[in-house]
Amino acid sequence: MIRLLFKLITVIHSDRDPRQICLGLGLGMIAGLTPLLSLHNLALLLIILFFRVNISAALLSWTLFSLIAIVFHPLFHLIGLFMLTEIDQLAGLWTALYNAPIVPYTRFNNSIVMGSIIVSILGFYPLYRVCLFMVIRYRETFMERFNQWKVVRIIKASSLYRLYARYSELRG
Amino acid sequence: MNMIRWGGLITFIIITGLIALFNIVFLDTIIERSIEDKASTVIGARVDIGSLDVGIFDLSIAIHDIEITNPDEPMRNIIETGDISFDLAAAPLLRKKVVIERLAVQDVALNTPRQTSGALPYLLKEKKREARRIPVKGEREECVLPDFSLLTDLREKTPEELLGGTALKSSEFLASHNKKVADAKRVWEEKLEKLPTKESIEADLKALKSIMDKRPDDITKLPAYLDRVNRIRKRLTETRDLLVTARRDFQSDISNLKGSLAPREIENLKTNDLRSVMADLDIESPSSEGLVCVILGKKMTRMLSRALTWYGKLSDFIPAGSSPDTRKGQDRTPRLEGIDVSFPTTGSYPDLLVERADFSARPAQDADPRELTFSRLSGTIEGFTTQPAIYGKPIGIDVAGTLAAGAARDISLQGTIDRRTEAVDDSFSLTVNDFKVRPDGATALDTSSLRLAAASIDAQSDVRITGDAVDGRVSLTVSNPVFDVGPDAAILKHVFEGIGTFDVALSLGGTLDNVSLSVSSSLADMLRQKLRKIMQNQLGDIESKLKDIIASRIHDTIIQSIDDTDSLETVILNRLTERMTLIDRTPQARDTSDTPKQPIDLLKKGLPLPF
Repeated sequence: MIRLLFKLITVIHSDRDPRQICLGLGLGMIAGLTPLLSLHNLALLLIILFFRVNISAALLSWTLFSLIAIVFHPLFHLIGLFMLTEIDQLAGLWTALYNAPIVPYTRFNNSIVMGSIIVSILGFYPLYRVCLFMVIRYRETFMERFNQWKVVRIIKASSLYRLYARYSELRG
Repeated sequence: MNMIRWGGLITFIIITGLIALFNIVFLDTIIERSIEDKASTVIGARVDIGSLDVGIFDLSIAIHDIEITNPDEPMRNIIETGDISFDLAAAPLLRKKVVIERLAVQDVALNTPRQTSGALPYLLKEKKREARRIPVKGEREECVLPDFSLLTDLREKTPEELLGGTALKSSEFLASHNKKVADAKRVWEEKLEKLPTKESIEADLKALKSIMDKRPDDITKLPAYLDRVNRIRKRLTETRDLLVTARRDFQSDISNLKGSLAPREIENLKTNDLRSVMADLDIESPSSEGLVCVILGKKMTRMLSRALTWYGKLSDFIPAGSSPDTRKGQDRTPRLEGIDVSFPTTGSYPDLLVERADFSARPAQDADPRELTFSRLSGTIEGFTTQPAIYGKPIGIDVAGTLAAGAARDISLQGTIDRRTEAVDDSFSLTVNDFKVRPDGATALDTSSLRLAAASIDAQSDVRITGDAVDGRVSLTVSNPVFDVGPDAAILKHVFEGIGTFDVALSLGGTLDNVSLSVSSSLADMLRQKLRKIMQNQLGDIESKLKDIIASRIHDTIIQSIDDTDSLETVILNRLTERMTLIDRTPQARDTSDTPKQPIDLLKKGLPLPF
């Protein structure tokens, strides 16, 4: 976790494309909010690995949102149940998906899976835009000031950080 | 910038490969545990699987050594099978539909012992307690043998000891009767005081006689004379009416008092007292129907209740007429799991379908008499599905077999489970020929002192469930019965000697939520006469002694009560009769209302003048 955090800070401080970082954060959020053992998470894993998405951001985001998801499960259940049972216009779609090959294995008909997917998809783009804005603004205005902070300099001077930096260099 | 990370693709392939490999290596265990957990929750007791082999490429599964614990007897299996193997259809599996084209069940045995308890852990059991249990009317705790040891104790006591501190109702009644007699005496003496006395009547008679002797010769004095005569006569007539009414009322009162002391009433009092004393002593005579209930009724009811409970579980598994238009989920939301919503199935396959299951038995071998192992078993179950409305055909059952070690010559079960519409229409027919009840075949639940230890039973049962209504009949013919009479019921030993073949008929009715059961048997008729003799022998002398002592206790009080009542009758009636006799001596009184008061009235009516 700490390693992921350090890595994310390093990436933010590097000249990496902020979109990669924010895509990682968004995709990690989807994986984190939805139940782990779902077929769509395999597709997310493929996207994260196959496209140039920041893996550290994705993993950190997945970890954080997995914890958050536990609190929001009742809400996901209500939203999912509403979508699956209360909207008659969608009944045809759900029925078609329910009878389609492979799709039933995604467990889309589970109230928590459906609710969490809807919330995470709706939250994906706003999170991506906010993240993009913040990373760019951070790099423009706060990054230099941040590096000058006494706390940061102490940390950077600490043996733990030096050890981590050396380990990172060796690891490439 | 290149958005593709080819190394990532390789990583993904490696990760998914590892996941697949993990599943392949541990798939057998994962499926085994999953089946065990889910089946245990449904059944309410442990379901153990010896081993499970999954053929990924040919989509086949073989399950070995399945043991399903009897929830009522955790140390026994309700059913045990050697091997179950089946092939899955590939195309429906892509749509998450489990279609088993052919399922083979081998080596079926019933009621086998377990090495370890199959009771579920407390938490799972609590969860399971929500499962529906179908009650059967007649599953009564009072269907037990009376405590015969009381009889032995009682025979050693004297009647006085038996009567002990029991308050006799007849004594209370007689005390109350005596009080009523005393009250009646007081009331009637008061009434007699208020009625015209002997002296006043004599005075009136004397006055009348005196007036009549002084009849006037002067016609002008005649009206005054007649007026006086009539006045006294009227007073005497009124007195007579009062005395007649009083005598009638008294006769009614005394008749009631004497009636309650009639010999038949006294006898009833003694009988009631005897019953009351016997009830206080907890002496209960068993009836022949009660004994049949103890021997067969309770066991049959328990078996029926268990069968209905399993039927209830089957109903939960195969809901009737699940309409293709309904979307439904579970009633409760499991924490962190959500609920699975079902949608109409548009394909031709339900979620689970066993197109055909075949049964066969293992080769004959030495079997434990308590195990019901099949030496021959053949038959099929066709179209078993969780969604009959989608499958569109009823489930057909046709299984026949023979139990090993001669436990039963033929067992066959035919049935149809038709749940295609909301109105359930299920019917079952079970035939058992020459089922051997053996002395060593008792289960832990057979704790009664009186049980059928050995017999040969032929059974035929037909049960039909239409909607919620249950209608069925079970007929048993029990041949060569041997009864095991324990020490607690030793006095019944002779009752059950030499009993020949008898029939038992059970009728089922009511609804699934409240099944009613009635048992009748020719055994009851066979037992009745013998039982009466035995009970007369056992209870007869105690009863007659108690009856005698009850009679002797109240004898004096009864005599006293009768004397008091007779004495009251004599005294009051004599006093009333004495006064009435005096009035009867009066010259014949005319009806004063019709008597003309004036001579002119007499002349008008053509009556003779009084002078």
